[in-house]
Amino acid sequence: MSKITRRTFSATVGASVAATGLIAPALAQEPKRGGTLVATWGGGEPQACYVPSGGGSSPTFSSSKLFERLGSRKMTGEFVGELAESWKPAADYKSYAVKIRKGVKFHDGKEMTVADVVYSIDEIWKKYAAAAAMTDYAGAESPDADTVIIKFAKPVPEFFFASLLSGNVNYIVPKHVYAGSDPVTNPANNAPIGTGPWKFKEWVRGSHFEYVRNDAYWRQGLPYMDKLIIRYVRDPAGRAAAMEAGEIQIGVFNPVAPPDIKRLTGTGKFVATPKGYEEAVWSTSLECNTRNPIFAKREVRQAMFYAVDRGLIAKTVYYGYARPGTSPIFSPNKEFFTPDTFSTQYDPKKAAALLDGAGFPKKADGKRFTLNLLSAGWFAENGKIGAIVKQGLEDIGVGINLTVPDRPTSIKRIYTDYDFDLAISNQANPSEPVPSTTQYYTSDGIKKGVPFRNASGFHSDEVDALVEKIKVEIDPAKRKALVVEFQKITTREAPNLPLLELETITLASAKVQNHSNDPNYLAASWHDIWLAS
Amino acid sequence: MAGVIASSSRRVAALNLLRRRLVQAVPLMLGVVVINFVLIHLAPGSFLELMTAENQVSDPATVELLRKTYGMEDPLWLQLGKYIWALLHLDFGFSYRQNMPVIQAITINLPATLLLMISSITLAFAVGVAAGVVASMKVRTFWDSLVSVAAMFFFAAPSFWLGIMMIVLFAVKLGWLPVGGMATIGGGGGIFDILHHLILPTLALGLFYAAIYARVMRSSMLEVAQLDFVRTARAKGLSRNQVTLHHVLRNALLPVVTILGVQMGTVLAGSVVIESVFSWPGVGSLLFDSVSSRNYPVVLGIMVLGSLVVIAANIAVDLLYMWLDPRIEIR
Amino acid sequence: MDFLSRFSRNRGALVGALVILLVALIAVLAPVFFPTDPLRIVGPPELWPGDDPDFLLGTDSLGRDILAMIVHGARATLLIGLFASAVATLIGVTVGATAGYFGGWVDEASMRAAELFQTIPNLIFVLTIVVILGSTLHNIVIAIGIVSWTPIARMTRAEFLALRDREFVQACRSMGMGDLGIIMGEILPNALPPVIVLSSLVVAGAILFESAVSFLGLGDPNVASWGRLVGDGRQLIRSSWYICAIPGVAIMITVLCLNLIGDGLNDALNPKLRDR
Repeated sequence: MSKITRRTFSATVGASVAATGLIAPALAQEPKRGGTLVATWGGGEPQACYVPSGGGSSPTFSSSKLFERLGSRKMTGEFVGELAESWKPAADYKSYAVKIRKGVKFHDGKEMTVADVVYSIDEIWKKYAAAAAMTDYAGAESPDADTVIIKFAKPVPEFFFASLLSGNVNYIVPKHVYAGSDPVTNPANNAPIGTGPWKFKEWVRGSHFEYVRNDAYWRQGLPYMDKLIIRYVRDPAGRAAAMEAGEIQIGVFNPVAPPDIKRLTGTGKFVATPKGYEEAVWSTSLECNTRNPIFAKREVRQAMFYAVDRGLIAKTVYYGYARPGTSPIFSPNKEFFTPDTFSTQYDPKKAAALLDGAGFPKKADGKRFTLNLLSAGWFAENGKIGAIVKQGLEDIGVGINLTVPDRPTSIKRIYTDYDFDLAISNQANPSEPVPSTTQYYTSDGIKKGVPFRNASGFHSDEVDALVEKIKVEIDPAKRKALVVEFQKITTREAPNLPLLELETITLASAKVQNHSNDPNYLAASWHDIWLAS
Repeated sequence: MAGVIASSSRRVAALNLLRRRLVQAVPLMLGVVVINFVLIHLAPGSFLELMTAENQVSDPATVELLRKTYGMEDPLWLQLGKYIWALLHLDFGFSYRQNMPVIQAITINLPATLLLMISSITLAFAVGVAAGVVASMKVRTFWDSLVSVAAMFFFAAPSFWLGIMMIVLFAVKLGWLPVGGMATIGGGGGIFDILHHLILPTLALGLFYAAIYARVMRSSMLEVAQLDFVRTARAKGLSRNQVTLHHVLRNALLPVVTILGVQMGTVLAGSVVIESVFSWPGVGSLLFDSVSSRNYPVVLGIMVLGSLVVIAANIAVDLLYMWLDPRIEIR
Repeated sequence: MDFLSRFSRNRGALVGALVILLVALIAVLAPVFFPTDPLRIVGPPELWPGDDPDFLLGTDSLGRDILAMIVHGARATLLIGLFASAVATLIGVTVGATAGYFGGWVDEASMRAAELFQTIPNLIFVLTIVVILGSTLHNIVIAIGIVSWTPIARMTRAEFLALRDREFVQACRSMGMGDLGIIMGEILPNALPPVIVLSSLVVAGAILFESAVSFLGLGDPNVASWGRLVGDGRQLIRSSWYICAIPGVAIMITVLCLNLIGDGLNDALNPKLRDR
């Protein structure tokens, strides 16, 4: 059986993409109005349509079609206003004046006002959606009906502020629906009322969401289509069968297995693209629990990474849809990524030498020491990666006990009990490094019981001070220099680094137009998508 | 023999049986609830921890509020007591993960599982009994051996593997049947569409039991055929087939019916695996998800209802047994 | 010898016994034929059987040798089957013996307990236990043992009920032998034959349970189990369905032979219960 290499994949995708003219900037056709679009994604049904704290990719996918944010980022990288028209920092950068768009209505007909904006920021963002990012938040007020002033205790860089306005689930929710209730259990979360291009119609549990066009949407003439249906199919083979039969037109976030991607694009009727995930790059990471005295020396931690054949993982586990990670900041991040970091790419001899030098020679039985490797079982791939990491480490004389627990056990063991020596986990981070990326390396990121923070126990005064500077540095060039410094230090210290950056694919019928045109397409509102005949 | 006992006293006996069984069911259900409650709370990673983790809640006040909301502030024995009390009012609790009452979460998925179970049992019974009868009537011939070999094959083959092999053959290679799911996505959903999707899962689940019933039916038929009353009937001049159908069959069915009742629990359990193989949207998938996410109320609800199904099936089987052979008095 | 001759009269049982002996031999000799860890990646992924003489049964999605995993899997499979059956037999015989011998409320309580364990759907129970205790080999063995003891208990109880009032037992009692002595020394040896038949069937059942648990992804990740192989191959049934097919055939043959042995044991130990 032939293997899929990156080269063949790119060639195939490139050919089919070019054939449909998808990447052509100017649309040759006039958008067709009407029709129903059926979409799916590579995961399962959410627990609620909207989860105020995010709740993961599934509710983000379902709720982002109904709600909107103050700002959004375009594929070109610039931030534009959505429910905000514009924003301006004060001279000391400790507050921003946001001009709110007029004439926007919620799905129940009520006008969106500054009261809704202030409520959303105070009650939803601060408490649930963006709690980690808003530690220095100092309040919001509306001096007039068009403006909201957002205040901070310390200066806030523009990039950070714009990212906050465009955050995954930093929506503007209707105050009249949520005020006075517990946002987490409010029943509106299962039939949300937002300002988005799509209105909630029905949720058939275990099957699909049905959304209809918002006729009063503030973007005139949009959306083009009548209905958007989000279908949930349990397994990838079922999704592939459904797409092949034309029952589903677009699937985001790796809806089908790589062999099926190749097969379907080979028919010419489908297009696969890695675009649309630049602001939500996923990675698979390896984390060392520095509480174990074996990991006291950075050389030992580095050795762990040197022992892993990332190319093999990319090839056999991800079928080539992954590239080795080199920094906690991911390579598509134009603002901050630097290739000039400490490299720990596959070099087993170096790994063995480092362990010898650190005082862990091979004993009589060939083993230096034994570690518990926990591979978080929320992705099927992680079990296989665990096997490969185990093999690589055993080859250099490190004994490994591998466990692949389910999601709740993994979360508890990694982030509450710290019951692991090595852990394989995943992250999806936006371009703005604070706090999503930095919280894995700072002392204040060590929060027992809160997942996706610093579980390695790593703390360094140098890094803490550096991150504090990054938080308040206004000048973009200086800020980048600081983040470059951050990357150099963290890759050298190697407490927790990405093994691979994953390539996420959207698969769509060639008839679907205007898709994958947002750097976080899963969380975009799909207001301009249409289906050619 | 069958008409000897007056039908009214049969009815009385049946009602007595029903009453006795229902009374016995109560401590049984209690035992089931307690065991499951203890089990699910032994699991590392409580529901509260999972929900706070997923909601990224670190504020201690909010955690306490959630603990109250999820009813977890009480000591365990009190939680158990409250749960049992609610059960008696047919309140299975609230599933916070799905934001709906547990009973609603289960009843959404229940019809699919019941459909699969009923069709599998029907297939198993029909095919198994027919094969057993044929084998017993043509004992030690080619047909007998064929049935025996087929029964052995289907008894030993793991059901999930059988399901996958059938998918490979009938869905992937031949394209005759769908790969999975209960209905075609985006349209379909008509009765024939569902039946089309039902074929492979039913075969995968049912053939195992068909094999058992075939073997049991065969030996039962052979055994009954040697009994006195059959010889009497033959002596009276009834044809072999008439004897078989009226006398032997009815009595030979008894062991099969017994096994059917005993195995109701395993059929339900087996459907968990089959639902996974075929992406069948039934209770099995819900159970699997709920165990994985420590969704206690749903797991308890499913276990309790599953046990109820088993108890109900056993009662039905006992009644059926009594009807088939009124000589037998069931304790 | 009488037992052996009765056993071997059943051709099927003989074949079954020989095959199982072969499987056991392979399991024992696994480290000799395949000394490296079968879970190691040793070749290109998804090679079909016959593509490469080094990998007679092909490779899986990661590039592991399927033949090596089958051979090592035989060990795990037989061990699990034997130990789970042992656990179930231990529990079942204990419960059944005390229930049948002492009668009264002990009997009532034991039978209620047995009914309780029979009411909870067994695989669901096993899955819950495995998720709770963790996916290690010994947890799986315990879980399977816990759901499999009831038929053994019933059988033991029935035997004890039949035997406890026999003359030889009464004689022992009048000689002053204690209860434990009578149970262990006198009744149990006579009650064992049907129990042994049942235990052998429990071995087969345990193997099917373990393969289902591993198939669903809850098996021990450090063990090359046949069921796990089938589960791993699910994503690839379109292109590489041999990954699912081969281990399933192995499971089927093993279970089949165990059933044949069970039939043979039944013939040999209970001649009066044969159906012909």
